[in-house]
Amino acid sequence: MTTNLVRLLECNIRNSKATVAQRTMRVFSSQQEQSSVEDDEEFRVLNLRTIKQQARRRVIKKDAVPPPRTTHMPVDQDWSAVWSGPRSFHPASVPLPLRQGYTERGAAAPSKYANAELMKIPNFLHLTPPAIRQQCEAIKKFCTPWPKGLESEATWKAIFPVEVITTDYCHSLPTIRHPEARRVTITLNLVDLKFDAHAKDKFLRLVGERYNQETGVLTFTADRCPTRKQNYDYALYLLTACYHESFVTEPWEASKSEADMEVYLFERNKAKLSAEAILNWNVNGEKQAPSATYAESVEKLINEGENEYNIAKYKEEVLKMLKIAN
Amino acid sequence: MNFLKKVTLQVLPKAEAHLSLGNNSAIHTSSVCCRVQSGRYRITVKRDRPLTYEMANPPHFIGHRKSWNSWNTSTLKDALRPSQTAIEDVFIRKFITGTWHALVCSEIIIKRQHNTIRIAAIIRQAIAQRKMYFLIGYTEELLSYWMQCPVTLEFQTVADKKDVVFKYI
Amino acid sequence: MYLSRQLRQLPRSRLTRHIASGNGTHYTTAARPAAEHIEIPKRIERSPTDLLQALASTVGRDSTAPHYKYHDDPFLIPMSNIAKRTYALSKEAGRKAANWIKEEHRELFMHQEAQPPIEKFAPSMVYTEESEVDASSLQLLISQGEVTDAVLVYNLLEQKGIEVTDALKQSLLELVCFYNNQEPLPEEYIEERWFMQNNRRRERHGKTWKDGELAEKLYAAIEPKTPQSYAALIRGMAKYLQCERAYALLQEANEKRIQLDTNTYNAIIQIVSFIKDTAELRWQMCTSLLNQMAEQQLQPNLGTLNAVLECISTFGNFKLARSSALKVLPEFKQLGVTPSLGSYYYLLIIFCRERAPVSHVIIDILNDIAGKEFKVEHPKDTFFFATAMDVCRNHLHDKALAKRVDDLLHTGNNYDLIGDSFKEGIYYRNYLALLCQTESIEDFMQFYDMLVPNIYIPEPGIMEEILRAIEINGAVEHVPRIWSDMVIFDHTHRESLLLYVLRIMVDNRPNPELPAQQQLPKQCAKVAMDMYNKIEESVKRIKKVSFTGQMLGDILTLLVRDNSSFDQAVEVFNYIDKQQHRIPGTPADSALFEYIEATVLNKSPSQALLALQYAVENNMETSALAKRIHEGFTLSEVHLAKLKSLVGEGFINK
Repeated sequence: MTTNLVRLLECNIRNSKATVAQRTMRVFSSQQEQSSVEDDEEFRVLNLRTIKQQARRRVIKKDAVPPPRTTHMPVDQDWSAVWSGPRSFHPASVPLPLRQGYTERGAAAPSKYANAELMKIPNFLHLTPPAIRQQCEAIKKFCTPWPKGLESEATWKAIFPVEVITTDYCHSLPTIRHPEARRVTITLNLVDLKFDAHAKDKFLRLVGERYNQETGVLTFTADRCPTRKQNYDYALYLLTACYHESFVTEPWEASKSEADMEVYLFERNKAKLSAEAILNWNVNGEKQAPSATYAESVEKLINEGENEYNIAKYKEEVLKMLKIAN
Repeated sequence: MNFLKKVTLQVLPKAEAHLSLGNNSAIHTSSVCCRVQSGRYRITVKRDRPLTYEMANPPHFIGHRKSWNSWNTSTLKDALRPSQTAIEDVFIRKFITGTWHALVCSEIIIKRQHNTIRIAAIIRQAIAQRKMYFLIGYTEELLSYWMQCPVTLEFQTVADKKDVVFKYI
Repeated sequence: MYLSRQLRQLPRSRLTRHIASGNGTHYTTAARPAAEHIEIPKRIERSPTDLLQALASTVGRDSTAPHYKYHDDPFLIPMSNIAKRTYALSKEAGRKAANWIKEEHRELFMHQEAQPPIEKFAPSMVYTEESEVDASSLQLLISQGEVTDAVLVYNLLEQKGIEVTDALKQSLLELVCFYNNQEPLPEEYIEERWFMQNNRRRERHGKTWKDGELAEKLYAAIEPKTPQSYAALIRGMAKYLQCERAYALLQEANEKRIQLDTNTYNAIIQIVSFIKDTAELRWQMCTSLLNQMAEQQLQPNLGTLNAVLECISTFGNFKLARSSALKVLPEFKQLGVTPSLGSYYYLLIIFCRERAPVSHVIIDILNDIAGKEFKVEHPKDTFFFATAMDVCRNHLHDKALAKRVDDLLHTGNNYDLIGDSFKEGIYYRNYLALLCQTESIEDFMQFYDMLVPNIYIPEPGIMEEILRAIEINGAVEHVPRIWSDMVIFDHTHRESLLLYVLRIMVDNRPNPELPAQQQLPKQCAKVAMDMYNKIEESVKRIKKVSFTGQMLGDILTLLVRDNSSFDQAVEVFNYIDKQQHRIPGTPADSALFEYIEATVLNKSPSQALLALQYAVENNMETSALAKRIHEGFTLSEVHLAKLKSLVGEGFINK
């Protein structure tokens, strides 16, 4: 009421025209009457039980959330600055109209907003071609040029015959260690090592299964020491030791009897003596030796087994040696 | 139950043989618990149970319609710490749903790369931003003390829980 | 897999030796033609982080993203200076809470998962009265900079009667003097530092040195006194402004012919202004100290230069200040001391003063250092950029210079030297204000888009400057954008800003002919309506804005200029009409006239008459309005009668 009155007074003072003042007064009085009537209609209620007035929840006015920042991204922005590293997808930062998810036929796939599927899938938004190019450019200064003269694989295989294989494990754990990382494998082709017959034989005996007959590759694997460095040193030691050892002839090696031989050698066997005996029967003076081709055919026949070719060859050689025309 | 008969027929002689040898292992003879229930939701009468996309697709669709919630290398063959990683993930999930009480609207996605752990989820905008920042700082720091890895939170916020609802059943 | 270099020798040299002694024939055939010599380049040495830094250098600043310490989500991106501060500090508070839990429940965090172990993730050692300690643990604590623990352990050692060597005492003395026997803010809480500095500056004046405490006891315990112990104590006292005693100690040392070092002298030169009062006395003392250094054959360094310049910068007499600075500089240059940004900062405050003639020293400085990269070398280095920008704006008012300063700031890692949030704020405030006064409005808006809101959020004062620039340029098309920013930055409770925005929009009536401005009336109407709603809401808030007649008139004008928002205009006018006793002042005549124009267009004579009535009641010029109503409408009897009752019969005859 008071404000209304004040308003009246103000109007009075401000307005010199009496008529207008009266009019406003009239208008106002009618309004007042109306409101007083309305008031009268409502009876006062007697509260017998005091009903606990529920504390009205204060409606906290939230500030409006600003629009996603994709709306004011310039079209020519530097994307690698926006998405610089691996990060879960965020719809307000990626200005692409992506959708992901399976829906029944006809319905659109869920949009990028509040889409957990898009957050799950690892994205490569930080590895765009320009970003990769930039990063390669940036780390180029740590790279040395490829050495001259090593262009083809054949060359570098020839110059660096030994290959050292180690494995680094990148895993998603609090630890950077992996027991397998200490394993060191050294491979090289046997042809790159130079042997005489005895050494080669001995070397192959020494390395045993480390030599692959089919490919001719030697493989040394070391994992018995706790660190990679130690294993590497050990593998190299193994290679060196085996090689050098193979050139040593021990005294007991002389006692190798015919029964120990792994291949038939014509030179050391009865066949040679018999052939000589046949050839030099009743011959005095210069003795004749069986021909090399005959020796070869005998070795083949015994080492490789009897097959049609070997037998035919042997027959031919025997006939030739005995000078029998067929 | 035919299935059970088949199994018992095949396995029982073997099991007996084992028993006779004094081996302690025994066959499990109680009823078969092959009713597949986990990750599936019952349809309500009023059809008003809200499901997120993740909940709407039962587990056998993992890898087809939805993807995994934990990404790490422990599940690869011969990888290290598979059990510890799984238990840590459960811990992270419980910790976050408890710390961000009634705020997390989606599953908690845990991605591990080297020694960093990235945790993504969808959060309701129900508390003031500064409280959220407090929780972010607290969660990141405490989890990294516990896991001994740097932890990063990558949350997305939504205004309303309904934003993540995929369908009602 | 990799090829091993050292293996190359293995088949050649080592094996040759052996095979040559045996059957050499097959080896010679296999020998490689030795002509080609393969040169394998040496590995380029790099530190563990070099690669990361190289990769990081490819990442630019994204102006649409917030600083990376904030969460990149629209809801969580701070949109005002207060929010920036609150969010960053909240996050840090959360980290502190976690740390507290770790320390409180240390037994739970004793597990060892990480390999190699990360020390910071484990709870820190706790020293109590019962701890088993020895000299080595004290040594460790000192090297870690743990002041309180180190002191505790030292006291324990004393109680137990364990001998502490003089060297250890000396290093403890240095630690205690450096921190004034107070635990410093832990290093990992960067946000707290970033936002706290400006408070600390206020309490800087006055002695904080703890007299007669541990530092002095330690000093007393070291016998015989070494130059190092003198130096530590003098520097500590100088740092915490126990000036007289520091100076007295220096003199004592000199009397005893103890050779002090350069940094100790620097500390004393720094506090000359606290010891002597007038410029002449200070200068005199400065020179005498420098002479003493020369006598003792001490090589001055950057710290000396900065200390001398700091002393000079406190001179009230600007002529003396300038001349002595000019004397000092060449001399230090001769000595081979390269000035740091801190030295340039002092030069700026020596030369560019408010009550002194204009100096262009900054141009010379920029010529000298443009394009160079700086590292922090002196605590005052971080003051340079803010001051330089201040000089550019307030002293020289030079846009080109400001841009050069900005270029320097973005060279290499120079941004690290911006200081803290406070200085960054000053820097950008000055930069933006200068640009908006000097740049064309289009160019300025480009800068604005780049800097606001993620790097800098304008304060209301700067907003006013921006609005002024828009007004001068009549660039009303930018107003909607600025308005939405003002809403976000919470500037809507500043009446002056609101009036300014309205005035710009009212005064620059958009030209519908131009295609660029076709949307403008609508946008302006939207802004006006938004403002109306904001003000109405603000009644419930603490920061109230009350309507004025002028303001409402402007809002009304803007609403009626857009054809589609006539209903809202009517609503606003009704508000004016009903609340006229509350609203001081009345809308402008032109506003009412435009409103009546609009009622004519929209054919609502009763609204027109209401407006007229309002005009009559408020004693405004009515004849033009009445005439417009009479001409614009074919009025019904009732309306005509009302019109007559309002303005009398007279006007029809005119």
